[in-house]
Amino acid sequence: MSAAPPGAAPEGARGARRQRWRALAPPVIVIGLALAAAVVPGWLAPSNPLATNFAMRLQPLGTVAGGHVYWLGTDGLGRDVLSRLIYGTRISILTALAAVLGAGVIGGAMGLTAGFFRRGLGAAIMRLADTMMAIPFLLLAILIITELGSSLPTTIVALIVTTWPVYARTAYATTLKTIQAEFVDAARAAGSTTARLLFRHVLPFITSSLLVIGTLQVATMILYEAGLSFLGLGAQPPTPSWGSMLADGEGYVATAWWLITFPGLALFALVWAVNQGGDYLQTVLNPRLRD
Amino acid sequence: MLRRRPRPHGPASVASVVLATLLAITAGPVPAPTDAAGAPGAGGIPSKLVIDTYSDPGVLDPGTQWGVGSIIIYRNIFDQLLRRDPASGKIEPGVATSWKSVNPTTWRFTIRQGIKFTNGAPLTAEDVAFSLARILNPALKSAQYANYSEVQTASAEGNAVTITTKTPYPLLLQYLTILSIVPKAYVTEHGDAYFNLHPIGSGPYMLGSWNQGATVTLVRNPSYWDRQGVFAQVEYRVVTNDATRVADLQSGVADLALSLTPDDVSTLKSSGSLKPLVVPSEFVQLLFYNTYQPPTDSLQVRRALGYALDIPLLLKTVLKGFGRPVREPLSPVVFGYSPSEPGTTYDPAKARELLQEAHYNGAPLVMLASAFMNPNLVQAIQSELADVGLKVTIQNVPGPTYLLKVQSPQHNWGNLTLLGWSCSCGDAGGLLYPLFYSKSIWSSWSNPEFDAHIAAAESTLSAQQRKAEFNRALAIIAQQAPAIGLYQQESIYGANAHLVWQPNPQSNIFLNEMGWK
Amino acid sequence: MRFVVIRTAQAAASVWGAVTIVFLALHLAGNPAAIIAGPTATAEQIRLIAVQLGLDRPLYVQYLAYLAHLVTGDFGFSYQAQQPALAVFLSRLRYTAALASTGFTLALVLGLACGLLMARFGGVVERILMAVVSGAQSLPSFWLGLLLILIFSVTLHWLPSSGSESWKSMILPTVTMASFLFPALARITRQSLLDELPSEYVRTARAKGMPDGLIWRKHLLRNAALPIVTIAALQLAYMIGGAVLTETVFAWPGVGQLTVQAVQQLDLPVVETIVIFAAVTFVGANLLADLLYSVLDPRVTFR
Repeated sequence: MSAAPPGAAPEGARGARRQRWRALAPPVIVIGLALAAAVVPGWLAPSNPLATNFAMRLQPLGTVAGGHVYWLGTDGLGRDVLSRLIYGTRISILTALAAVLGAGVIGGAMGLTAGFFRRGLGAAIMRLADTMMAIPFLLLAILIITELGSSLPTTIVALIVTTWPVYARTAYATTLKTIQAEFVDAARAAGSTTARLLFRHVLPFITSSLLVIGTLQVATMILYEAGLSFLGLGAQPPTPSWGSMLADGEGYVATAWWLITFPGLALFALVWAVNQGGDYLQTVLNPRLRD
Repeated sequence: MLRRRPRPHGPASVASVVLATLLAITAGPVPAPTDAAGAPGAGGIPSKLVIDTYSDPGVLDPGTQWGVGSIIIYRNIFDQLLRRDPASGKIEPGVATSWKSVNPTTWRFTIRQGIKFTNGAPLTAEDVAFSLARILNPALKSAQYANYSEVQTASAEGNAVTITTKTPYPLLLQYLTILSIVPKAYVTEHGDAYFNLHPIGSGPYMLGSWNQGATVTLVRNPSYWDRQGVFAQVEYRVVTNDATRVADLQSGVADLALSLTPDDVSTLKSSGSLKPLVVPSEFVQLLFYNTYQPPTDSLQVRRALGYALDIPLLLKTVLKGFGRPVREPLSPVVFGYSPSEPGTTYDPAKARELLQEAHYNGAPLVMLASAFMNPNLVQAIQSELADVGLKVTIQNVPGPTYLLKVQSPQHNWGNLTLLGWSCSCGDAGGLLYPLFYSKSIWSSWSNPEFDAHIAAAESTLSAQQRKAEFNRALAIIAQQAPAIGLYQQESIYGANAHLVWQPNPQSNIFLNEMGWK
Repeated sequence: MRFVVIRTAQAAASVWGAVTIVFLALHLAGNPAAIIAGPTATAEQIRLIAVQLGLDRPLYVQYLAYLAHLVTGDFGFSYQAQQPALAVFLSRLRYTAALASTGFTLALVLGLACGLLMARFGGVVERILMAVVSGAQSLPSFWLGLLLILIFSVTLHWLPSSGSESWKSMILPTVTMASFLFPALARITRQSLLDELPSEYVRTARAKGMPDGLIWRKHLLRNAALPIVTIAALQLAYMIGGAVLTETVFAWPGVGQLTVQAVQQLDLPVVETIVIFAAVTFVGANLLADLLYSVLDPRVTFR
């Protein structure tokens, strides 16, 4: 067993960094493509994702008809799969970012508050967080969406409600640690330090730990949104979303294999790229984890 | 940082014990394996027929739910009071050998002698009266209550049952064809919950085993009084995904698959060992409007919707031809269907004209949808309506929420929805009354003239008079457009080429009518 | 000991809280009586059924009555299935348990093996395995399920695409579940082993001339076990909630499918039964992990 940590390049630190940069290239490209598809789908997509064409239902890859090239085939209503795939990127990314942002802000605020007012309010908040985590995710999500109706906003709400405890717990733990360290110094400093001053001290630490959690959660949120769409609970038709495209394609597994292959591939690629990016961010923000 | 030396019986041992315990707790007995789809017995007939169905029966008590998923199973365990000829719709003897209308509100049925339940008890008039009375008992919470709510009393004398109704009820006989006869002594002794799990009937098959959510196995009743089933055992498997049902047929795991889609038919046809079985059914698909919510509160907008839809094209492309056009929101095989109504025509120019007349301002229409609908059809309709300038947003809700929304007295469920309906009674009244009578829970329309005609049709036993009233009622529907008929649904089954069976328009599955060659 | 009591009380409070939140949410979602009554019922018939179910009573009365039944072990009567809710749940639990145990076992084997190999050998081995782990982590479970069906059932006809009878029909769902679970196990195994490597006792053992393999077997694995056990316990708890997506794709009639059905039918007794079991398992797993830590690793103390 070598003395050096496994995985390190033999050239030393600089070589390791270069290797890491090279390894980052594919995920960055994928995320770049995804962001482009989310922001300007009209530039990239060959056709209107909502344009139905009953005569061209379930056509295979590369079908050429009426001046159109259906690179990835058509679906059950004759719509171009590639275009729907590109427009669907927006749903995945938007939902994930909104969910992470919402849950991060709310959960972070709750955890911070709980850290400050440990007895009473703080205990109540953390009990609430524990309770929410004990309810199975999908059960709670389906319940919320059943009540509020299926749509993109309610999906985001459901994701926020089910995931804020993760951020709250992290914020709480970080707040406690920081307070223990800061409190002593602050108490020594002249005058009474108000809660606001402590906020200014504690907040940066919380933000960095929440950032780490958040980047990991983006990938999870993409998968959760796709899962909810797959169950029919996400963005409504005819809005294309990768999860609902998979659900539509489920009935045609034997006859039109392209309907499930490409949305799934897109999901896989994006989640993988975000995970890689998240791993990198983690090593940057948390050097202890670096190999 | 100093670390202590690990203790001899370290964490790993504890961990393995904990894990083993957790695994032991959670690893319950694996469900018992059952035989693969019937190995051929004597003469090549499989000893077990396997049917892939699309939903879990949920209950086997024939007095409670009557969804298709349940009745295709339990109506083989029990006999029904009357029967209906699938082709002509004529009422025929079942458990009752003859019947007579003593006066418009009193009926007398003579009960067949010699029928026995599979626990040996004879089937008597008492059992018949009991079977009906328990459905009307609120404690049972029966979904079939509405079918018999007109019944006042059901009593037994000797081998005859007398049923009285509050007012003349023309659909009584039709609904008695779906009244299953249960053994009074057994049910009262064991209670409803036990009876649901251990049903005893007099039908051609008995319950063998029930793996909830997965399979129901029926076993042939050797002492059945009527035609014997050809298969010794029949297993119903719950397979919710349609493509998986087809895959099961192809791999030989299943011999019959229910509720397939038009896209599957070509797969079935091209396979040498399988065949599609298609039958036009009593189900009709209609586009149902909310006349209380703008913009569908405007008659011109509703009429425009009819002109905007190219129904033959939809049938040809989305349904691959598996749907027959109708002239009104009724299936052509039910009593009361009027072939003289003109129906809708495709005329987008006229649609736009009507929209202008109505001063339609581009407000979006909400289309309420749910998983039990054909999603392609829903989106295709949205797309066709968009072509004439009608913006439609689809709102998908789960099944139970759908019912709640549409049935809410606030009538704020949206503007239009796709409905598939059959009363299982073969009569126009079974659709027109619940969907369009202004006081019905579904109705999103109010027209006193229509109400009068329907009420008249529902309170006389004269077929001729009823037909006349239906004609007038349908004419009003055509004028006022609270809904339009889209098409008569065709039931698509997939089967092993050896199976001999003719599916019926009522979506019934009577196992003793099936054969094998 | 006092610590155990406090934590147990907190755990019980979480379960109670979960039950209450779900109770309120279900009541807000609508009226289950209409669903039972069926599409052809009149408003009056729906009302009659609601009375039968006790839904006409004030909410707090229903809640207290429900809790009163619960403490006596009565989970209520399913609205839809005409059976006790507990019986409905248990009849589906066997399927989830079967899938969970095989899937989890496979995930454990794969995860431990991968993590071990990655930490032990590093270099190319680690890079390849890490790519596999990352790949599996990014794979949507329902997509993998569909692909496996496409390849092994539809194209190759090797395995059945549905059903729950034979061991053959368990293969694809098990693989799908395992691929979903093993990445976290692989990562935590690798990480905790790596954390142990620089430890003093390792250097001591090496200085004494103990061969590498023996060091790994005798010391590292044992000491690294704790975080792995924690993650494993949490995953097991998660699976009691039923792997809804996997079960949906393979039509596996387990608790996951029951959850979707029961929630949509607003079948409160069944939904609450699921919540109780899932919450107890989750909270119990957490509690167990905390206890293990405090008992086995004296460095960790609890205020």
